[in-house]
Amino acid sequence: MLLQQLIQGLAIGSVYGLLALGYVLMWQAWAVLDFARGDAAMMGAFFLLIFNVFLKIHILLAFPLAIAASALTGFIIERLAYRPLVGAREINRLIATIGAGILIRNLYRVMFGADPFPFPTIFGEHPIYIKHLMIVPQNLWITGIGFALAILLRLFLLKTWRGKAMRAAAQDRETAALMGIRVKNSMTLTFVVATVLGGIAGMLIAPLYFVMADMGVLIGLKGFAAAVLGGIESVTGAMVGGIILGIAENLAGGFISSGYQTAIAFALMILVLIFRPSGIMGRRL
Amino acid sequence: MLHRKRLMGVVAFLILGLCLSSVTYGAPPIKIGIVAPLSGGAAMVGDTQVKGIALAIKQINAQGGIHGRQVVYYAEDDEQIPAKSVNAVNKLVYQQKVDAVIGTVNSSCTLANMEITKRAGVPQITPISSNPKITRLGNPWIFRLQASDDQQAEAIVNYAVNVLKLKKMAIMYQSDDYGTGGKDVIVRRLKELGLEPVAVEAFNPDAKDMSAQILKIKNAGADGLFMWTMYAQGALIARQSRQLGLKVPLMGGGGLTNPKLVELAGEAAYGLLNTQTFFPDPEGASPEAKAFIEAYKKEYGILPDSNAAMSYDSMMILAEAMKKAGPALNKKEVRDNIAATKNYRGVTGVITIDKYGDANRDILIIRVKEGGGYEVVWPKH
Amino acid sequence: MLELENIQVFYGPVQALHGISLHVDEGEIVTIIGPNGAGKTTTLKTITGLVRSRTGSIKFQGKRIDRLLEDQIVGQGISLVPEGRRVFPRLTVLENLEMGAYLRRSDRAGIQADIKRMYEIFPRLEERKAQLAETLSGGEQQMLAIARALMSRPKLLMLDEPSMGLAPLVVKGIFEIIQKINEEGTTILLVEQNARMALRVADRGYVLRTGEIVMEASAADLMKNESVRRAYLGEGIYSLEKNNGSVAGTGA
Ligand SMILES: Nc1ncnc2c1ncn2[C@@H]1O[C@H](COP(=O)(O)OP(=O)(O)O)[C@@H](O)[C@H]1O
Ligand SMILES: [Mg+2]
Repeated sequence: MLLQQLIQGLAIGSVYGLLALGYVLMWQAWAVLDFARGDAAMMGAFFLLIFNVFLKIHILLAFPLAIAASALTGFIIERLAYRPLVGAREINRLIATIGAGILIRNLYRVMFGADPFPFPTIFGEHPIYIKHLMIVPQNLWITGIGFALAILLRLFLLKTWRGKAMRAAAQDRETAALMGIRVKNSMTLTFVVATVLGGIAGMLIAPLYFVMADMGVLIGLKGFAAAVLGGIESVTGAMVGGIILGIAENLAGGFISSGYQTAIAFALMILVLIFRPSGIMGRRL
Repeated sequence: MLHRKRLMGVVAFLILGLCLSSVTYGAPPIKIGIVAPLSGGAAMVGDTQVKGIALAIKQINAQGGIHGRQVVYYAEDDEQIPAKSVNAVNKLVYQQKVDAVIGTVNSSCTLANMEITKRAGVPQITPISSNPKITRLGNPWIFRLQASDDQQAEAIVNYAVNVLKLKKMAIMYQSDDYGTGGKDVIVRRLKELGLEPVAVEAFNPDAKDMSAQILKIKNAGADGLFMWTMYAQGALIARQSRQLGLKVPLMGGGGLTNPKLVELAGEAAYGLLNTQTFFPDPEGASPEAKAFIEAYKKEYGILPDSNAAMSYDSMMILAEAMKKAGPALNKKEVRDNIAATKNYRGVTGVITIDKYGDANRDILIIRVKEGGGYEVVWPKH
Repeated sequence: MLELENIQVFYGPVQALHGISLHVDEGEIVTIIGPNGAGKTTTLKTITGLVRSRTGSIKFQGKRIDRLLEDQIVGQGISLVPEGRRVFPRLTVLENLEMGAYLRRSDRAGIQADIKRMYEIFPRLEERKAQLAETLSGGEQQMLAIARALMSRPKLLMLDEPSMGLAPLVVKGIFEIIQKINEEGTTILLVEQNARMALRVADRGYVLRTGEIVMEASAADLMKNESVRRAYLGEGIYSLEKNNGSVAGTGA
């Protein structure tokens, strides 16, 4: 029972982690808490829905297409809504991200209605039993992809020129420009990467939770809680925060009372804010 | 400066976005206010509520309206949030100055917003809010067409225990007035039948991940699961139960009935049982229901759900009450006429409003067929 | 090599540079000295393109650079060690050096060789190459900032107050290195408040005051000048104003 709840928490936790990575990236590069992260997940899920379900494109092709579409939308949104705000005051930028989220959500509501759309299971939903331990293939995939992406992102940030430049630009815009780094491009790239990560998170949960215009709200907040939990400056922390949150929620549901699941998530976040404001992982990348 | 202009542009876009999300229609003589969840998890229900009322109004207007006046409606979104629901009804009553209110879906919202119509003295009918409390608070201005949760929950528990012979049943309910009200009746009725639920689990109305609850229920060795929630959440539970290997009959109230349930949950929904007061099956339907199903299908291209039918009946009963009142449309008179409704042949059956403002009616139990669609399993033909 | 002509810079309504002109010749060490707020940093930022002049022109090796983008200006061979060092705090020492070579990132072998050279000049950096830059002492950070600037293989190296906040001994070391870099063929434009140190290593100097160049002369002449001695070398209490321009015309 305990192990089962842990496994379950791991899967949803890695989805929270992917969203938290978006918050971390945006905080690093834009110095803003970007509350439109959950809506990036929603858009990703819709793209996969459009390609795979509406246009009946094979899932193996629909995935890369949906990722490309997420990247393109990220690029457009950055130009329209985020770049104009680079010089604005912090609180205004924060409000603008909330506004951008509302705008995106409502646009999708107008385009697709507020109904949930069903989404076929991609990875197989029949559980496999190892003795008494039940494994849902879908959850394995979600966890695997979540971790793989987090590792890839870390490698990107630590090992590639673009990744290092992205971090440099995030830490000191002006000096990065002195190095010949095109800071604005670097910020655009960050936004696109964050949007794609969020989009993939949305695609992963689409078969579990259905696809609808409002699906990003709660998951976005959970991602935020995970980012705060792990440390808003840390990639590793984002994943760790996501996993802890997912597991805590499941344990709370299994052993305390399922009515308190969401409350637990935010209580954890507030505790961390009080006792360890820099998050579990602090400032280590 | 350029930045500020761009910022203004962004703000303008935002306002546009907000406007797009609430739908309002032109000005007119007799005004009906609709409060419904037009966005959020129950948006589909809100949508069919508006559709049912709109169809009724269209037919009423085609036949010359009421006292020669055309009828129009204003729809306000409450997002299934009580505070927003209160705002919505405030707006309808004090800004649009509507003659009556129909709505809303979520019981917590109706319990909150019916205080406004009570204070203003405006008749209100909720088509499907089913929390028993709604009509038991001594508020004379609120009426309900749906069978209350008491009636529904008792019916499904009776069926589970007497027909299916289940012994170890678990309950999952959404943690609001609707879910809690249903859960309480199930627990009470089980007790009356000498049984104790093996697990009672709550979830937030917007929860997506039910795995913790389902695992717990599975572990408790349940042989049946009652879920007191709406169909979107019901579909999630059905699907996740299947994934987590919980293979027991899934049962619930009328909130589960919707073609979308099967669409969303697929095979996982087959065999699901729930109570119902309206069943969109043209063959077995009364003449009234048949005419309604056909008109609805013609108008919207889809089959009506029970909420559309309840909403349609709400509007029709309201229209009858208005017709019987004088042309001045005294609100007190309209209210009294609704309260006096007796043996009205609606599309959802024969309706009599009782002393509480509740509609007395028969309750069906329907089952999701393999491959989709419903069949009536109780009462047996 | 570098020629500024009639540069006027505004921060909003405030004018920071009132039409300054100056030049740096190949192989020289030129220093700009002046009090706090004179516009020294602004001058260097204008050359790198971080702020823009409303009038005049900037030429580097005979070519106008004042309309180029920042990265294009760096690409011409101009590198700045910014005021306050501005190392990337949460990049390692090695990563900071790599960022200096960002524009030549395809030249892997060259970068490796240069990093090795930097470690020879600044052995401290090699010891700390895997550490985050924020953990370095002020002097080490200054070394890192200089090394980082050299990683782009600049023809002109500009330094903005490299002595700021450092112990005298460390300052001495830094200035020795600046001289060495110059001897190896890099032209240097040095901004300093520590006029004594700056004039000791420089060939020529400009005195900048409230956005205007008030003096230009060889370093030796500036050292001897009464008013400079009083105002910047801590001898006497008179302000520069009374002796304005007594050494040489500014050409402005
Ligand atoms: N970013 C800025 N915004 C507004 N004013 C500035 C800014 N940077 C510098 N200034 C002003 O421009 C003038 C020159 O500053 P600066 O170039 O930093 O002088 P220095 O480097 O000689 O101390 C000062 O009056 C300073 O206050
Ligand atoms: Mg300065």
